[in-house]
Amino acid sequence: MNHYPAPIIRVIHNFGKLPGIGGKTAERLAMHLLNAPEADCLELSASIGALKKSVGLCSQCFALSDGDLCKICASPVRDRAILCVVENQADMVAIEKSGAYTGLYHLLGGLLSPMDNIGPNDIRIRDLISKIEKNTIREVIIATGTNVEGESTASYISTRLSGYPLSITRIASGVPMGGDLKYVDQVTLKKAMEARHAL
Amino acid sequence: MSVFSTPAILLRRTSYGDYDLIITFLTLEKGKLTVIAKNAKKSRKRFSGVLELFSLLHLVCRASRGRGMPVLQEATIEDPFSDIRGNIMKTAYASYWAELITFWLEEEKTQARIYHLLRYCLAALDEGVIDAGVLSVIFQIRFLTIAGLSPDFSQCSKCRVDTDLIAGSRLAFELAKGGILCQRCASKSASRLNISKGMVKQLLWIQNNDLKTVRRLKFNRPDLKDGLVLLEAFVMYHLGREPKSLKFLNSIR
Ligand SMILES: [Zn+2]
Ligand SMILES: [Zn+2]
Repeated sequence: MNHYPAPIIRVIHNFGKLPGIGGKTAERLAMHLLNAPEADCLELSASIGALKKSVGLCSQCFALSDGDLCKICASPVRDRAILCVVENQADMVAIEKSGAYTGLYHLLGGLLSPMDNIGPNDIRIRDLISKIEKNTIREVIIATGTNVEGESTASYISTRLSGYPLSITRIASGVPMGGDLKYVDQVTLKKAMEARHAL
Repeated sequence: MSVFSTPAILLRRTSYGDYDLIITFLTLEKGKLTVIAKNAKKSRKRFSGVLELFSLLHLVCRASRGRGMPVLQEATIEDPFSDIRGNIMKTAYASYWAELITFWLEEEKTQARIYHLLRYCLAALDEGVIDAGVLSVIFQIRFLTIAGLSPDFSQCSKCRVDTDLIAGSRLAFELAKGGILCQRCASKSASRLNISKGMVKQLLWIQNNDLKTVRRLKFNRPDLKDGLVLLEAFVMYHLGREPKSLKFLNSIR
């Protein structure tokens, strides 16, 4: 790598810090940029610069947003009486991709974890409660994962919200589409059996 | 390279890179065992839904060449104890027990008595008939006893008078001595906890009797609270720090 001039080494070094990019790939990317039109390079560096400056959190749901409100919270067509509680941005995006949901979100920013001492004050539970107190919400859907942290967080939230006049629901878990029953674990199968529906 | 299999309880799991998990188990055959589960975060078929905290599993592992971690080949659920995760208090107690074991036990040194103790306590916690706090008293006393740190509830640690013969209904407990003190000896000693004589006798019973008989014990609330405070303080005294899950437990109880 010392055979390159210092500016190229700097770029290779910076690419090398990105996840999944090794020395060889970093070198190839740097050489690619060197041969690319100058406008493309400037656009790339400007877009990276703007990333940190203009992306913050939505003041209502805490999703990533380039304004005070994210697109979902600002949308006039979303149902404001339903709130879906998720762990993070990736989970929210996954539900959005499904197209099955038209309400608003609340991002917790983490899950309760006794062994890491991540308690109720370390995730956005107080924000959730004050949101419920200030707005007319009919239903809270708890869509945290089905691992131990996700399940125990869901149980904690449902206990905390039990005094409010709204319905609290938990997303169902069951057999994945195209799934082979013999590969499905027994906890999932048990829940799938309990939540079966008439045809 | 050899393949071995063992019943195991999952104590802790952490991500390793984008694909793998590093998992600590308490196994029946090899005591505390840390293994790597390759592709566990990506593969849907192999470990999906199986590698969850506190689950009772049957493992097949391949010992690695040299000093590397054993590799998890197969894991099947014996009992997921799935009602524990449906309750944050139960999850917090189970986490506390798992943290004590993770901290205290040496890697790959067989500890069958601790394995059976944890299995018993998790099963009872899952079942929900015995209060989680009572189970934590049982777990801690038995665990400390097996670990050789058993507090002495049988006599005053200073004047050696038998617990039964000590006058008065309240006793003191001294962390440094790991024993109880009668009121006369306690008055000369600093830093101590208070507990009823009745509770001390129950703790003594748990120490000396079979786990199956222990489930018949009844505790009143204030006594149970004193017992938990005492045992948790004693654990912290020996650990030299407050376990994270104990901090969590105190924030929700
Ligand atoms: Zn928003
Ligand atoms: Zn004495």
